[in-house]
Amino acid sequence: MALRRSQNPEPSIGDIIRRRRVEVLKKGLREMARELTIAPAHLTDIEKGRRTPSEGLLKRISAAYGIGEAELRAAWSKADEVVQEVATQDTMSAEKVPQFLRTARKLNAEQWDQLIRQAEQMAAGKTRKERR
Amino acid sequence: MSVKLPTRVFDPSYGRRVIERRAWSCLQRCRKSLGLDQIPLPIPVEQWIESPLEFHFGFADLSYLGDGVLGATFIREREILIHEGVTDHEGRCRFTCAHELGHMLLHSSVRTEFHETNDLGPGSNDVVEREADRFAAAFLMPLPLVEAEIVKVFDDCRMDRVQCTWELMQTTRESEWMWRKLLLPVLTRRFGVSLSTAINRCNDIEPRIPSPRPLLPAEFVEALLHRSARGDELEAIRLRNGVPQYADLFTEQAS
Repeated sequence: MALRRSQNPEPSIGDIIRRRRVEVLKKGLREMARELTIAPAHLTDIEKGRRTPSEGLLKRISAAYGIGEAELRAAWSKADEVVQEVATQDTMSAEKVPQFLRTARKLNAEQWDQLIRQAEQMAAGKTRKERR
Repeated sequence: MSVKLPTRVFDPSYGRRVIERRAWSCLQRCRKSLGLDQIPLPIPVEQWIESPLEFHFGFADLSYLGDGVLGATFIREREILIHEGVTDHEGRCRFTCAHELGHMLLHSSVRTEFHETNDLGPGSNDVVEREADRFAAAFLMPLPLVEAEIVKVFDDCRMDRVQCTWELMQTTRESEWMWRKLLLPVLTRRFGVSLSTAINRCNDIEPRIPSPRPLLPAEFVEALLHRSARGDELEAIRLRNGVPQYADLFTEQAS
């Protein structure tokens, strides 16, 4: 009986959550599926990369596995609901948000933080103007 | 293989000893690999298939493999799949997992793919499936631990181990009472198996002492799955001096 270890250098998100469940949380598939309120076959499909989780399930996986929501969203290419909401709230946003995101595609973390601060100031300024 | 089963009272029936040792050896390797002092009960078969045994494992709709398929083993892919329909049946699900593990460990040179269906079981004519069933029973209910549980039941109830073991082999109402009311409820709960698995397992066990009878009388094997024909008689069994006795006998013996 050989106890093998796989040597995949870049594990998929399915592999990552499976390993975390088995090696860190030490839970079986059925037990974890019960905790996530899904069928064991559904969790199997997610771990094997055949399905991606819904918005609500992604949040439950994040909480149950202790993996950041952002990491899961990036791995499953699932943007936060707010991105969809803002990008489609009106005609102007539908045009400008994709344009803005294309421009900002290659920003690093520090530049994103600067941008967020500027957006916060702009939003605060707008609110003050509106109050006057 | 030089594995010895650390039993003192019972042995597996002859012809099942090789599989018994393979299952025990697998359990011991898992225990050591996980750094555990003891084998936990119920044995976490689903988790151990994944780690430390490192087989791919999952639940899926296996109806595409045929009607009534409960589990499948794919040797080359090192993958065990369990049909999604059995996930709610704890005993059935655990047994199917252990059965498929048996194929993976015992039968890699026989075929590359195995499917377990509802039709199979202890009465199956397929030798390979019967071996996987025996492995599953030995893996989920390892003989040394079954022995320890039976002894513990006797000790907890302050029962005479020797007399009660002897009584178990008889077809008396006292024996039926011990099987129905004491042992089988404890064994099914502690080992996480169905009643039929526990009965079949006990049917595979022989006392170490030379005995003309098996531990579980053949007359009980089928009968224990159903309501007792003795009805209220079993309710009148009480322990007396560490041995179960029918209540009517109390007054008889006293006089």
